[in-house]
Amino acid sequence: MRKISVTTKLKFYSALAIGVILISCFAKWLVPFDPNAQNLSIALMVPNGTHWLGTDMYGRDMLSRIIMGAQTSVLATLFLVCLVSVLGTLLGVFSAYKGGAWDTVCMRMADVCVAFPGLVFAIALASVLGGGILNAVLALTIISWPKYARLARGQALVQLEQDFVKAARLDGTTGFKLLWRFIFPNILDTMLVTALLDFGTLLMELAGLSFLGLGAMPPTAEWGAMLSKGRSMIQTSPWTVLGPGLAIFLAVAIFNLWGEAMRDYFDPNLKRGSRNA
Amino acid sequence: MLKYVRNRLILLIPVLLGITFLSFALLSFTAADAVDMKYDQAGIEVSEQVKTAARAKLGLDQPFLVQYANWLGKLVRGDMGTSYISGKNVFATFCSKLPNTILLAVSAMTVTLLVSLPLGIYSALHKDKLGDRLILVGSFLGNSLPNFFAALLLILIVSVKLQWLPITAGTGWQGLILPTLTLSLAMSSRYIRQIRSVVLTEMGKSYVLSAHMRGISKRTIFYKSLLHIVLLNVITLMALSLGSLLGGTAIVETIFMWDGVGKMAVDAINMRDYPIIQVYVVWLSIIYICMNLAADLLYHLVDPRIKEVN
Repeated sequence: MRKISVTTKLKFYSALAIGVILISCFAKWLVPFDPNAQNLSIALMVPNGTHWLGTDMYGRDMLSRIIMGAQTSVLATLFLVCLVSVLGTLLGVFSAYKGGAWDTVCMRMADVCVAFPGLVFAIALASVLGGGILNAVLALTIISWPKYARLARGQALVQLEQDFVKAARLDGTTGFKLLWRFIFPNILDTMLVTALLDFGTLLMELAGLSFLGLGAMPPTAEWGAMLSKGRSMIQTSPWTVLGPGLAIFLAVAIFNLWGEAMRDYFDPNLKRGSRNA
Repeated sequence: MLKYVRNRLILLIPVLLGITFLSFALLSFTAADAVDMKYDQAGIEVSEQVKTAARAKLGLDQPFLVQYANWLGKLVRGDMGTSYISGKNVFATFCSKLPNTILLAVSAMTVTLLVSLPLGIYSALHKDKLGDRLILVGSFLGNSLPNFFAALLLILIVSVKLQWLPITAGTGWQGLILPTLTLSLAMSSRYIRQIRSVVLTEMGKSYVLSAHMRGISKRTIFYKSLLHIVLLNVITLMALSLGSLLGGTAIVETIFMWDGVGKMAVDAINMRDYPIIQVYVVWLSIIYICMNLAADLLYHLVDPRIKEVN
């Protein structure tokens, strides 16, 4: 079997993933029908030539709603991933650099936030804040930042011990400049790979909150919420479940492959499957 | 060892205080306070005086930290208030539903181990062969499938198309099958990959090579040297996935109408029954922390390498 190079793989999956993001950005202009236009006379139509993926209980075109849903699901996840990774990295690096009380407080906060099992705290928080995709993002941010903070802190501590950092410090470089020029560039690839590998998981969790009615509010098209709507009609109209479900599945798969390609790209010595757990 | 246990227990205290404080604060800042809530739910109009009296009785007029301390004292005694809806003690409700969730979690964990241990090891020992590739693709697909969609797919295939099981089978053993499969699908996918990579890492080490050169069969090397390392890693994996398992039960229990704490919490969200949500967050977190600690201690107990370091 011919070996496909890591670079080619990365290019291919990057193109796919960026394609998904672009579709989400320009969803408004790509939809064949108005995703929110109700027409009860064509409710729950089987997939056909006009409505490729059928229609839902209000006669809304499924394909249009799935494309529109990409906007909510993917862009919200993108925002969530950026927020969590940037926030976590900054907190972690500052903790490593400052040490002392800041470090202790920050890491104990991280301990508390990860002590909540997975979605449990997010469910409670989202229920208190009420629905809305931004509240769901906030809830997931609170349970996800410690991972990045701990990782960035560990990486930064290693870097701070390096000779070139010591030299820079002897040279009088301190504070933000030291971190920006010598620490961040050296931990960037690790943080980026982690963030990309998390993209799929966070997409699923966000859609999960919406599925429970804690994310996007109707009539906003969102994949998790659409699945939840279709659930009661699974026996008679399975396409209302299959469409959005496959959309989530495909998006998650593409972003997972992108993350893995990025990981392999940044670590050429790392052969597949030989990572230490 | 004893010293280690003591240190771990001491470290546990701030975390426990933190999670209880956060849970308490979270639900105290909700828009309406408990008294308004109670009368609103009951549909009774009462004067401000009655409400003030009721607040004083509940201790809601006291400073925040005092309220927290009182609440914590009650929590230890198993009194976390009553449900706005049913009027029953929420801790008792939680305890009555917990066995169902534990049953589901244990059954999902068992299936996961039964599937992923043989498949992961097989995959590693037959690296790059057809079987390995199929298993890897399968585990990738399983890993990209959100549990709520997996659940609905299972319902669609097993209950609607094949009609092997009723869609909502209740809390009997029939009702256990589909939620267990849903939960173990994603977990097995992750486990298979991890177990495969652990085996491959160990196989690449020089002690395996030297055993191999001395003519010891692959099988013997595996059972005598590798298996317990794999099992050690499985303990860590189990502890790590416990969080997502406990969180995941909420969605899966809701879909399959499994009468556990997850469904209880989701139902409570829809009815804004905050005491129920509170008992759910606090106690699941405490259980989670304790299980993690247990896993750490177990790991400590069985891994001779860590013992030496201490």
